[in-house]
Amino acid sequence: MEKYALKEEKEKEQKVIDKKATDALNRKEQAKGYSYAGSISTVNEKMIQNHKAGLVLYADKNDENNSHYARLVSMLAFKMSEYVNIIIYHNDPEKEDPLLRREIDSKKLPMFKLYKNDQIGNTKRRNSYELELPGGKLDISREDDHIEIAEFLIEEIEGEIEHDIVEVSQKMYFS
Amino acid sequence: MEKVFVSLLYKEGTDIDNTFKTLSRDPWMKDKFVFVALKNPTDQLMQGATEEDLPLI
Repeated sequence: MEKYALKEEKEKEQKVIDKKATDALNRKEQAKGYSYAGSISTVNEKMIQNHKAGLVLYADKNDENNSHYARLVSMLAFKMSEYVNIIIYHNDPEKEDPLLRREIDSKKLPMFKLYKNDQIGNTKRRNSYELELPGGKLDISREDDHIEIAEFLIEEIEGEIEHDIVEVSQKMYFS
Repeated sequence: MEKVFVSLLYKEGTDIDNTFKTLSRDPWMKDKFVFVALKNPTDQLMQGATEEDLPLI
């Protein structure tokens, strides 16, 4: 913490930014949602080459549960779109994008893949991993289960956010 | 190099906002800003704001 403490002689300039402006922290009502990628190149451009954390749903375009997954994704976006890029990619099994297998090893779709923040390129790709849906009694094909599934995924994703915030006490703050 | 000191004031029972967390690792900001979080700030720091206004930057 010491390296961040201000020197005694330096007056700390404090500003409490107008409440309206700080509501940037409370934009949950303004969720921007998610987007669809038409190709793996788009996933690469929007997700892999972006420092923001990312979540991609890779699914076959004719998967019978696509509407359920879309509903789940919109719930995730409502909560997290400010700090997580969320993309759906629909794979066409008849004309599979040859770059798809660079992003996912498994042939099992649908799959959520999490990409960490503060990384880009191959590092981001290498450190990405599949998010497993909760098992047990929860079922993606049942709308009543979506909130619980979303909460499970949100907890996992939020736990992976990299940050450099130093938590300080009041005493440390004024030291 | 002088850095901009950005404080998040928040109250007991809430977590540090995730947008604030990701900002601290934003490639443009991370070398120019220092991000700190302080739980349950006193009136001295609140400068007229109330608990209902938390979290505040």
